[in-house]
Parts: sequence; structure tokens; C-alpha cells
Amino acid sequence: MISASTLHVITTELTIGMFSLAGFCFLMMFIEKGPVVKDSVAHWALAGGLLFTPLAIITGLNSIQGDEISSPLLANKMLTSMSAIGLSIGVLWKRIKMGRQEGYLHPSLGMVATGMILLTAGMGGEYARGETLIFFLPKTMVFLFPMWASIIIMILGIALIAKAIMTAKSESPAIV
Amino acid sequence: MRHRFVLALILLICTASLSTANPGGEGDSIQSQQCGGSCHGDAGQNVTSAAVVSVVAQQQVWAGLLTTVDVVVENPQLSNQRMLGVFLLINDRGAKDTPAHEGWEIVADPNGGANNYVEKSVARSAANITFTWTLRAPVAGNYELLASIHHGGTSQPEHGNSPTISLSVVEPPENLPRLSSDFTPPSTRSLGEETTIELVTDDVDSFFIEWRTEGGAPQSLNVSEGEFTLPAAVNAGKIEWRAHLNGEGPTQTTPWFALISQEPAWQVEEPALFLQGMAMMLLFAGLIMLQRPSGGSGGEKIPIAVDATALVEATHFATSQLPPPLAQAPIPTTSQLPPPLASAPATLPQLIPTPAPMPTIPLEGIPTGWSMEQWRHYGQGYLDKNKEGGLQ
Repeated sequence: MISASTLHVITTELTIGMFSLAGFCFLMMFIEKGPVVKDSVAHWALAGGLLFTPLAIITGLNSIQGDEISSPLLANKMLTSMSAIGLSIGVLWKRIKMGRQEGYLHPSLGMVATGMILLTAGMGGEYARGETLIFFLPKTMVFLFPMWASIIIMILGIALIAKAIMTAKSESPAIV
Repeated sequence: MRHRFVLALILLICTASLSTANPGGEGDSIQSQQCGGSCHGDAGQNVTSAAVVSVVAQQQVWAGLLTTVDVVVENPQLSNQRMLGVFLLINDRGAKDTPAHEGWEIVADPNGGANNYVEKSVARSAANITFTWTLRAPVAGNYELLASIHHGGTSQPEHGNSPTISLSVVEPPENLPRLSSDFTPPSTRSLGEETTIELVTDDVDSFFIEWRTEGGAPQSLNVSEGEFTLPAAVNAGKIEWRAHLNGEGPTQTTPWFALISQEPAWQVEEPALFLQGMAMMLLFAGLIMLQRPSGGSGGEKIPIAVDATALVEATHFATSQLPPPLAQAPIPTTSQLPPPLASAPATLPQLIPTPAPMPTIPLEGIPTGWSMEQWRHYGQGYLDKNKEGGLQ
């Protein structure tokens, strides 16, 4: 048997490794340097990282001592990792549905997604070891919305996703 | 570019080698002594600590009953982090050396947990530091205990062991007044809370309680129906209490049990947090999914959401290469059209990726290792480059 904390290390390393690779390739795309495959590598690595992120979150929650989120670092980790998942899904959707993206916006969004995952990992290191390189960030403050605000945002997000899916369907090649 | 990348890589590697230890500590846990080396990256880097470490315990302990073990660390030369890690061990072999390996149960560690390895941030003014463990003794027999410490130093991590002490665990007399084997003293509480403890005992006719603050004189407490109440703490710290047990057998005094007062733990409304996490995920995903492409297609895949005009503009063909407008060209009659393909399935019109024009292949052929697909996309650049610089 493997304990949740050991499994968390494994899934975290897989996630962070893949997101780091994706982030590096998005940076190459942003500065328009490097081989052409950077686009494919960035998105495949992002997809791989996305695959392991829920596992990392679940094992992370299971490995908390006391079964409670007892630190603002853990709460912020939760929020940044979920936001990064959302950003990554959006970036991948855009790449799959709309083809190779040019310009600075797409790689920037990719870098933000990977950056948030790295930030999450950094907070994990601070929680476990008390050491961090991102000491200048206010990580002990948690911006927690009231439930009603979260529900409104969630409905808004679902509506946006539904609209995006419907738009993609209506602009499908069969109709064009 | 390549040199700058290599330089950045070297700088990163050099930065990593500046600190091989974990100055923030590892956290309290069940650890073997091996960690004393591995926590500092390489056990070979450790130097011997100047601190004097000793273990203080009762020489004779009743089997199955509670006892306390003090680890006294004198004059440690700590790093600026002031972090000191202490292990309570049964041998110095480095593995299978936790008290649990010989049946000792850790009821409370110096930080209120149940670990054999604890870390404390030590005040600069403290010359001697005492770490107290409360243990439940194993079955009768002879046992050994020792302590090990590690901490940062001026330049290298430092490590030190105490001398090993021997303990004799014996079966208690049948009528010995004692705490019940089910009784576990509380080890932590929140600030501002009084603590009421119901003492569960065996073969005890009466008992009375003493408590003290750290370094203070013992004070008596009232006992009512087997319960007593320890006063609330206004500051983080610990108080200690013990019981004097009277019965048919010899009178017994328990060890001092520590009760640590802590700031209330940080709390969050977890459903609200999870809901917000989900909401942010959906919102960010939706915002990006709904976003229209900012630039054109790179040609790898034609976007679905693009109008025909944009597609024509995106092609590499010049307008002059297009067939004449319909108005100038004769309209073919049905008989002039080629016969339909009988086996071709009926399909709806689709947007098909327009291939880039194929550059002229030079006499010497395409470069070694290139595919025709690569030549289609990069061949023109290759030709232009060689035209400028001459063929090599």
C-alpha cells in the first residue's frame, strides 16, 4: 500500500513536470523562438498535466493531517489549482477547436495556467517545509466569496461554456 | 540565445547547491534517525553538534502505564533559523529505531502530537531546552532509550546523540493504585479554554491533583467526583499536572503531564471553498473557450469558426492565379461536365485545408533528412537563405 502523502508526491511530480514543460514551450511560443513542435509539445504536455491534476488534488486533500483544511496555504492551493485547471481546459479547447493560435494572447494564457500550477506547488513546498521563493506573495490571505457569489459565478461559467459549445457547433463545417 | 540559456542553467544549478538542507524544517513526524542525515541532503556533510544531549527518565517503569521521558539539550549552537530537531529513539542504528519498534506508545510529544521526531524554534536566550515525551510502557523487560538532535550550524548541518540510558519495565503489583490503561491525558487545548479532565483509575481510593506553569511552583486543585478543572491559559505555552493516587497498594505519583495551549487553528468554510474553486474553474474555462481567435490560422489546421472570405484571404494563391470570374468564363452545360463518380459517397461541403504551394526542388534535391511536408513549409526559406549566402 502507498499512503496518500506518498501518492501525492508522485502525482504532483508528474503534474508539475508536465506543466513546466508546457510553460516552457508557451514561453517559446510567446517569444517566437524555438522549433515548430513547441506548439504541439506545449498542448500535449498541458493535457498530460491536466490529466494528473485532479489526482494530485485528491491525494493532497487525503494527505492533510486532521482531515481539515487548517491552513490558508491549503485553501489558496485549492483555489489556484482549480483556476489553473479551468484555464488549461480553455486553452486546450481553443487549440483543438480553432487550430494553431498566433499572437501573444494564447501563449500568455498558457503561461498563466502553468504559472498558477507552479504557484500551487510553491505553496505546497511552503506548507510542507516552511520554505519558499515566493515569500513576497500574500499567500496567507484567502479571498473567499460568499456562497451566493460562488453560485452566480458558477452559473455564469456554465453559461459561457454552453455558449462556446453551441457556437462551435453552429460554426461546424457542415453548416459552413 | 543558446549561450544565454546554458548560462541561466548553470546559475540555477549553482543556486541550488547553496542550500542543501531544509532550513524550514521537516515537520514533526515518526522518523528514524536516518532522517538526521537525509534531511540535510547528505549525512556525510554533518558535523558533530557542540550541544550536550541527555535523556532523563525513571529507571523503573510499570508495564502498560504512563511515564515521561525528558530530553535535555544544553547549549546548542543553532543557525539563524533557530530550528532544533529532536528524535527519541531506541538505538543508534539509523533504522527500525523508533520507540514503537519495541512497543512504546507515544501518548504525547513535546508539541502535543504523537511523534518521536519534533522540531521547535528555540529562543536566542534559551541555553537549555527540555523536550518531554509521555509514553506508555511496553511489556516487562529491559529497554534502552536515547535522543538524537540535528540543527543548522554556522556553515554545515550539525548532528548529535545523547548517551543511551537503560530502563527496566516491570509488571505493576495487582493492587497498585494507577491510572487506567484506557486513560489518555489530553495534550493540547485552545487558548482561553478551561480543561476539565475525568481521571479514570484502577485500585484508587482517593487522589489529589497538582498543576504548575513552566518553571512555577506546584499548586493543588480541587477534585470533585473524579473530575478536576485546569485553569484557562491566556498565552500560548504549556502547563503541567500530575496526580497523587492513594489505595490499598503503595501510594503512587504520576509523571507530570504537559497540556499545551495553542492559538485556535485556522478554519475555513470548506463547502464555500470547494464551491468557489469549482466556480473559478468553470468561469476561466468558459471565458477562454468563448474567446474568438486573435490571429489567423497558422495553416496546421483550418479553424472551424472562420468565414469564407477570411479563408480565401488566408490562402497563398495570388488573385491572378484564380480562374477568371464567372461572368467572363463560359458557363459549362451539363453535357460538358465530367461524369459523376458512381462510387463516391455523397458528402456535405467541407472546408479542406489549403496546402501551401510547393517550392521548386533544386537540382541537388531536398536537404538530407527533410520530408516533402517539411520542404513544402520550409523549402522557400531554405532556398532564400542559400540564395543570399551561397550554397555551402
